[in-house]
Amino acid sequence: MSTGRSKMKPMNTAVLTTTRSDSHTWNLVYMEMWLRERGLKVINLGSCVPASEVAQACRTRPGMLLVSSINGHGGIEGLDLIREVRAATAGDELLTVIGGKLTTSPEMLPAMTERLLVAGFDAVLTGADALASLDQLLAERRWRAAA
Amino acid sequence: MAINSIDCLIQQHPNRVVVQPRMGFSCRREMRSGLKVTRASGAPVVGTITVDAMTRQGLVDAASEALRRRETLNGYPIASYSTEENQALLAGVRSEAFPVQVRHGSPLPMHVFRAAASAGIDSNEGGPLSYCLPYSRIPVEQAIAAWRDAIQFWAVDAPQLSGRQSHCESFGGCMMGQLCPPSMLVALSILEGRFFADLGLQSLSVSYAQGTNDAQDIGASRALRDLAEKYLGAALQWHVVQYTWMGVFPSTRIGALELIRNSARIAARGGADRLIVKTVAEAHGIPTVEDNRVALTLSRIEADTERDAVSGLGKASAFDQSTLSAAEGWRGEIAAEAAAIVDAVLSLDQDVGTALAKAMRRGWLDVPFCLHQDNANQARGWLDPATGALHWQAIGRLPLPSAHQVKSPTAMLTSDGLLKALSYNRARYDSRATLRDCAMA
Repeated sequence: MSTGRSKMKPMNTAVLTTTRSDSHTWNLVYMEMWLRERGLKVINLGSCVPASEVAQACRTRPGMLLVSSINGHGGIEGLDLIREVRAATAGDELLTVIGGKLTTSPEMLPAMTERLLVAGFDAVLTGADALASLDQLLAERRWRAAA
Repeated sequence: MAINSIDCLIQQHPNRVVVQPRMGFSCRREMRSGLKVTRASGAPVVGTITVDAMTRQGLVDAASEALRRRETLNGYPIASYSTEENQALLAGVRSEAFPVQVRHGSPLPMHVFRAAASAGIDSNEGGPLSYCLPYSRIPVEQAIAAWRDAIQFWAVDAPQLSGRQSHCESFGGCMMGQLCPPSMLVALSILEGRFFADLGLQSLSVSYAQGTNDAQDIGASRALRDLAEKYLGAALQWHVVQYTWMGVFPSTRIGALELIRNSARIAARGGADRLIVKTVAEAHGIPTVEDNRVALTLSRIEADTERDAVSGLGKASAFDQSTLSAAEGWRGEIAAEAAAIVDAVLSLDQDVGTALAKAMRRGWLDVPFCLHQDNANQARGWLDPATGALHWQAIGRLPLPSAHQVKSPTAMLTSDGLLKALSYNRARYDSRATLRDCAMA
């Protein structure tokens, strides 16, 4: 995973979303608070978001796209989502991260992680240390407000 | 027109709590066998057909395609099966003593109502706000218009097909599953009940989802009945439904069983007529039919025991005297708050649907933590970690005296605080499990 872009401007905004079929929102409410506590502005798109709406939101030049999905379909739907976002934001500096429970069974996760990275996500964060990894990612980019 | 089948069952068991599962399979044989097991679990019980997520969202073609490919859906695609297939599902299973209800979650529900009516089903579930705000991106006004059409069809045309009065249960008592102060849940359910009645529906139910403090839950359930008497009146058939805890579930089996038992005691003590149960599998995945059978049996036993205590026939109540007195305090407080909201909303327009839309625009109805674009999202609930009771931390523009806001010791909710509040019942019941395990060891 490449995180070595040094000329990135200070973090301002994160677009926070889930995938088309996912109606869960407590994860989004939680992640919004978590990101704000780290000094980020958050555009929270809510539940069941079509990929086209995510792409539209990413055209406003946020620093990061964070996709959180827990219904087990996030992997499959995340592939379409990231392709549409990358197409809409070609040339922009945009950190893209997806996390949560992305497959219906754990055995499917390694292959799905690989596919999501190939399709254009910068990071796929799942499991118990997902938030610690995200925290580190923000710190590396100097986006995280000083604690 | 014959009385609705759920009303009939409740009238035949006036001192019992009717229990009911959540259950949906895409395979018709499995669905039928699930209904049979539900029926065999004992009386009084109502069977459930839970509709799959694709059908809920109106993606009937996608659900039909998945069915053709023999993919497993997370519920019964009632609009993809033919009328004959749906009728065959129920033939010889549904009876006078065993009503079947369709449960779904559709913000635009006409296709579900039509399929249910064609199959001769007389009981449905949902509401214009309760099925729109938590799960969808459909504008509230569009959902209200769609529900208006669906309820009119359900009230007027569906009885011609089922031969019975149609029933609809408001899901207003379960907004976001947790952390919504009870007065908002009670107000929403009553308002959706008025919406149904306004459109000519003769049989309906109002709901309340178990929360995080027993006294508050018992009080809320009684307040809901008080307000139903006031706002729905004697001319309609109505009853009160309770949902077993809909939030983050205990992860231990013993903790989950204790929560399920307690929900049945609360239903019995709070005066609920019907209880929709959860199972021990809730924290881990989709429950099996056997999980449901266990939950139904357990809930029935606990509810019967507590009802005997209420009527002085049995042992002492499971709740101590201080809980029962506190419940009466909550009852008055919740009823007063909810009535203030209901009165204010109904004053906005003669037409209940229009009043609901106006109230959403003004932030007079505001569901805490709901991200729907039409929700004001200014009201905030606060869970007191010392007691588990829910309070208003911020009332936004709700039509309530500002005195209802508590001064919480933590002015700003943090992500960590939110996680603790969401996990309150898990921690509460799992810790009991640990204590009991130690005691038995």
